[in-house]
Amino acid sequence: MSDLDDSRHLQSAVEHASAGSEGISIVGHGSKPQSANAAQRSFMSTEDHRGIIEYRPDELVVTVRSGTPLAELNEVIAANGQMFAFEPPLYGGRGTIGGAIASGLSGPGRPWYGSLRESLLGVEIVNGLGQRLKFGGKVIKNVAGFDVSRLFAGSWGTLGVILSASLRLWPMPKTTQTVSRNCSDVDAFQIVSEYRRKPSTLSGTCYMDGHLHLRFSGAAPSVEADVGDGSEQTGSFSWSLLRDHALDFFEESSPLWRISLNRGAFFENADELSIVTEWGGSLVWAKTESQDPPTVRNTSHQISAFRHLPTQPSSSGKYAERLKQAFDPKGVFSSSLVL
Amino acid sequence: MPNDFALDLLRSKLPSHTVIADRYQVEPFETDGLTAIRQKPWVVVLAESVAQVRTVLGFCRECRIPVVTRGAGTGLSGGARPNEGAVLLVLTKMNRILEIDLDSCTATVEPGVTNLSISEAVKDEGLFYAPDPSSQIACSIGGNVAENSGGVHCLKYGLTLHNVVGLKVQTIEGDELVLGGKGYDSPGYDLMALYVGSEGMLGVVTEVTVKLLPMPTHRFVLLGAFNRLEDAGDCVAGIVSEGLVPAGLEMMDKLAIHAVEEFANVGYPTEAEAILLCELDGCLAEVEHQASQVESLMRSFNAFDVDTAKDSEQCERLWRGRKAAFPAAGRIAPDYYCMDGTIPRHEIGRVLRSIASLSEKYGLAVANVFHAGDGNLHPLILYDASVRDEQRKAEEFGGEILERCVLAGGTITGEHGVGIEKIDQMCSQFNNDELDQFHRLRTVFDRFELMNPGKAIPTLARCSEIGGMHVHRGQLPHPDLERF
Repeated sequence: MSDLDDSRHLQSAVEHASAGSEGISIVGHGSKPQSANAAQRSFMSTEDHRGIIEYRPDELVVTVRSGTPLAELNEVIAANGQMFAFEPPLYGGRGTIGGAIASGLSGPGRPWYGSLRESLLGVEIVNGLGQRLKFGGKVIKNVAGFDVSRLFAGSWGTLGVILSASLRLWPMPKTTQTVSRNCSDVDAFQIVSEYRRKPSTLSGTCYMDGHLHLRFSGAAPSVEADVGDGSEQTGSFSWSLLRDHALDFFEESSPLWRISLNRGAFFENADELSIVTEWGGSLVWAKTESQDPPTVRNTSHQISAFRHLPTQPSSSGKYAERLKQAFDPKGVFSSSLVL
Repeated sequence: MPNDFALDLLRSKLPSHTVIADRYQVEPFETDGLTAIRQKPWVVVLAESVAQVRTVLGFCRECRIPVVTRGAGTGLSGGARPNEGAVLLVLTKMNRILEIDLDSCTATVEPGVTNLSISEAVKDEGLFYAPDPSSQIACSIGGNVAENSGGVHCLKYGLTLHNVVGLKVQTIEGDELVLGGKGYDSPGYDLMALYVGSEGMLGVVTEVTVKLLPMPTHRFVLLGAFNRLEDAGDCVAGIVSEGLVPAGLEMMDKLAIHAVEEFANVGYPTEAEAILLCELDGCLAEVEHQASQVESLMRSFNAFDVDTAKDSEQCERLWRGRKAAFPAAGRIAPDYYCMDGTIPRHEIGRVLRSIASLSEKYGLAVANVFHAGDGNLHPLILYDASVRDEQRKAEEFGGEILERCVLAGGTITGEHGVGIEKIDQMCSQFNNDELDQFHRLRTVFDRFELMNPGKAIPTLARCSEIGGMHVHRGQLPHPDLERF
């Protein structure tokens, strides 16, 4: 893996922009089409700021520069039998760890393994004043000061440039098996709900096209005990394509919505929608024909435009605005939160 | 001190039995779990509802009177110690469990509900709430959120932040923020991350939704006895390197073992220099397999004895000693001062050795009991407050331990919080720009800096006053000098 430290350049670029009140959009390797919608701003890339700063497998922690490609990073930690529990999307190998943190997206195991922000232990950033600041650290228990590092998860480059981050790692499960079965969405919801209340090695669910796919990961005896229950056939579902939003479903150009909710959703005009449900029913991807969001009937939820839709306005509310101000008083960084 | 007019105004807004202003009646509230530091509040309000909380915050905002929020008062860093001339807002009466949702496996509770009572309420459903600080029988969930409390099972199950999914918060500006929820994601900034561990400085938490986990079917506890402290420390790293994530991994040194044996008589090997307690949970086949792995690892790191408890009674016995460690320390010395630094695991041996040298330097004994798997140390400095100067020496000793933790790449507090206790050490861990950023963050939610002022985040002036002893990120003034 190449080892490049571009932090001085990144910091001085922010200082320069701050002095001239220019706008900057931060990009990694440009893996996300969303990052292209910040007009009239110069782009600042973390591409030349990459490499592992510290990695001790016995600490289960890695400290890494933000422009490091996730695919390369995954290779290094996998060689030690370790992984990021939050399974960030790799986006064809172009995704960076900084981009993963800024977007805060977690993969199929999120309900069982935790989210990206839960694995984030510390960051070094440059705020909008060009100050280089460190928050958090590289130990798993740390309550000194406000938890600024986790605030950067999902902040989409609006608060500062992430220079490096320390993240918690987990041992890779020894065994992973997938079972798939044909069933209705109601049955799928029932099956998945039952799993929540009992100890199991379930580590991913996906319901699409009338099939429920269940992933079990862990020590071999436990996985076998869970899989051996029924007479399902072993499936061939690709969890990495789901993680990378690269299943055929995601490739089409219809408007795509990401809906986070408590439990399985029921939609009005459901026949006009195309849907994939993961996270044990708590995350729904919905494609619509028009640019209007789908209407969820039964439960409280949060809908975000994900692809092929205009960017939503920046996060509203006076506290969000003041928060942005607290890090970036001159408005150097883009203010639009994509999700 | 606010005047009688202010007191009359406050009384006019609240039911009379919720307001305590008598100087003798406020006395029980003058300290939290850090009993060495005391201060009488101006007035105590025992709030019974969200509306009353909002009333108090509105009053404080209008009159510019500071307010300190307090749960059960078990915190160990003085975070809930009252401030002079301030309201002490106590939330223990808001102690209802509002909802247990078995579909989403969450419980929604008021902030005064005790940590343990959540697990008790869902026990029959085979569920539990994972974080278990040793004060769990008494500490409140609101306090847990404010401090981001841990416990003995953090390595596998995480801290409070990993187990809280939703919050309702009242800001001093009069807004109610609904953060998170039963789903896993919310758009916008993750303010919940910021509120967990904010030590009562950003708002008052009035509702908490926590994640409930299915109870594992089987649990083994292994006790490994070692002749050398370093071997036990290395064994911790060895277990983690092997790809095992124990539910708990605790270490105690000789002085702690002896104190516990005299107090609780659980059968720990008193000839050992150190013991490791390792809890494994999961399905039977997995736990059996892991237990044999851990046993052979312990032996390969020179454990002279390994005892495996397989039934819940035996497991309880082994844990009982660990849980009795603090009261046991209280029996071998009139006072003890509990520290809370965290270090990378591979530094455990080295930092323990430097604590031993400091112990000689200060002439004060130290018992070490700690969450080894998390690298979270709890050195208990033993002293006698009635002996002139010992309190000061203990505090200085503690401060030096924390600076060693920072030097080793760790932090001054793993789970107890900064509060008033470790505020000077914050100047070692953070530079002025970083502290400034904290202050700007604080004013996002509290423009007049009325919430728990003087705690958790030191002013730059305070840091420059203590600048003489300032060690920042390992940059000692004379790095070539040996320091013990």
